[in-house]
Amino acid sequence: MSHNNHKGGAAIYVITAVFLAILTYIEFGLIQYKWLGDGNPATILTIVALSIVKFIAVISIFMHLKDDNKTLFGFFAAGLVFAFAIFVAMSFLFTVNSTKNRIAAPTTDNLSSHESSNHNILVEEAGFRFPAGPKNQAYVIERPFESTKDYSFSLDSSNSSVSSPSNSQDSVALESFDWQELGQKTFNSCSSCHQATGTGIPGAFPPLNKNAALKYNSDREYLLKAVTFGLTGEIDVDGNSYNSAMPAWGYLSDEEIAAVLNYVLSSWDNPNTVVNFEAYSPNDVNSIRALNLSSDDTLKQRP
Amino acid sequence: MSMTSHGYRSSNIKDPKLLMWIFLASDCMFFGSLIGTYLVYRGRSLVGPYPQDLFDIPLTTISTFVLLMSSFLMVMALYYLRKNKIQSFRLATFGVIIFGSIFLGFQVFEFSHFAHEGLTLQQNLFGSSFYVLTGTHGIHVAIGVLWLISLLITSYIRPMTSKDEVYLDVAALYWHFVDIVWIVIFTVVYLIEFI
Repeated sequence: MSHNNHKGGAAIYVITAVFLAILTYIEFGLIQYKWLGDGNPATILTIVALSIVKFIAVISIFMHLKDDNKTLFGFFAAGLVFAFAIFVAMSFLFTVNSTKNRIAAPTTDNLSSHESSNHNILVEEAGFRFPAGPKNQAYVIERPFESTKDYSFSLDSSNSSVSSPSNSQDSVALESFDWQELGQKTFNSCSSCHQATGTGIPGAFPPLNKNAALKYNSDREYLLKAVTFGLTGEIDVDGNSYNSAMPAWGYLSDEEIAAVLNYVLSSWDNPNTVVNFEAYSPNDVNSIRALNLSSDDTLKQRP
Repeated sequence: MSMTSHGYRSSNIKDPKLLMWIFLASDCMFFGSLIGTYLVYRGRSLVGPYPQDLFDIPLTTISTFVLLMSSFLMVMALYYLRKNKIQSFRLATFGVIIFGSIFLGFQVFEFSHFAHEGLTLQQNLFGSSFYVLTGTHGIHVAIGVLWLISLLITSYIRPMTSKDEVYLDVAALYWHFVDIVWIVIFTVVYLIEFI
């Protein structure tokens, strides 16, 4: 058994360990005590360089790569190169700029300053949802949609205040909240139980047709609660009893919840039943979220 | 190098060691994509908590130090085994297990603190990318701890000699790899937030 890869004594390991500890302390000092001054770009270069040195020290001495078979180095180096390639590819993949669908950045005052350089967030393109959990109200920043005070809602789709899909591309959701299409799309999630025409299934799922409008008339907030937090327990609709569970749909975006409710209230017989309908806005959903109810609470607060 | 198997060998590298290095190369890509994901999503969370609200640099520096020193003890354990100093090998291996467990303890403390502050896996992009990255690393550390415990127990149930070194060598390579991944995470995830 040849021991060609571990000549020398333990001294080299001790020296390496002390060296690594010192480098780690320097990194700590650079950040915690700002040895190079606050915000000095040299700091970032130094800590990246230090961590590369630590990385190399560990693989060459602790992992014996320095004196070991070159084949092993080749495998590991290939892995590192691929890892770096993946990283570079991902950076390009997710930072494509676009002039369309860009949503105005939240105001800087509401964010910690370190993130201010990253505000060109392509919310629409990325398709991410950002739930504002009620537990964390302190952190909830002003959402892009809230920066527009005047939502132009209308039940009449021919009304000029609702922009048509073709010209809404450039200013999506900023000038107006175009809920028709979104609402119809989101309703696909509801129709498996409540059915495409809102009739529900007798004995299993309550109807939305007419009933949703009646609930709206009694309490405008109730429908928001039911969708956001769900509803469990026995309810009575038009003389029929239903004992089932509606899941909480709070993970949908504010826009989707507002849109789907507007869609329901303006569909089938609901427009004939609803009184003084004022379309929901994403803001309405956001303020309901803050209540942080359970599906049992929704039942108790049912009008 | 003893050749126990039949057939042609192009090198004298022991199989477990070769396989471990290939595995580590693939693990590089795994962590490369997780770190890449973290960096791509960095600063894109629209709701908090944000990294600067949560990270505790002195605490993380200590856990980084603990992991580095565990790597030192690891290389010493291998050194002693090669010298056939079994008691010293056991002591060093035990030290690695303890230091690795301390590191895991810090991580459990950190995760529960963050969760208490409102950072859950689903809270924002920071939460999901941070927990997946550091959680995957933590699982690696935990596997390493279990592996070393099994080697330590083995040393008590049958005589361990320098012939066993390849098994310890492979475990040590894994352990050092977990350490270098943390060197990168410490810089790229934690320190960079405070520049």
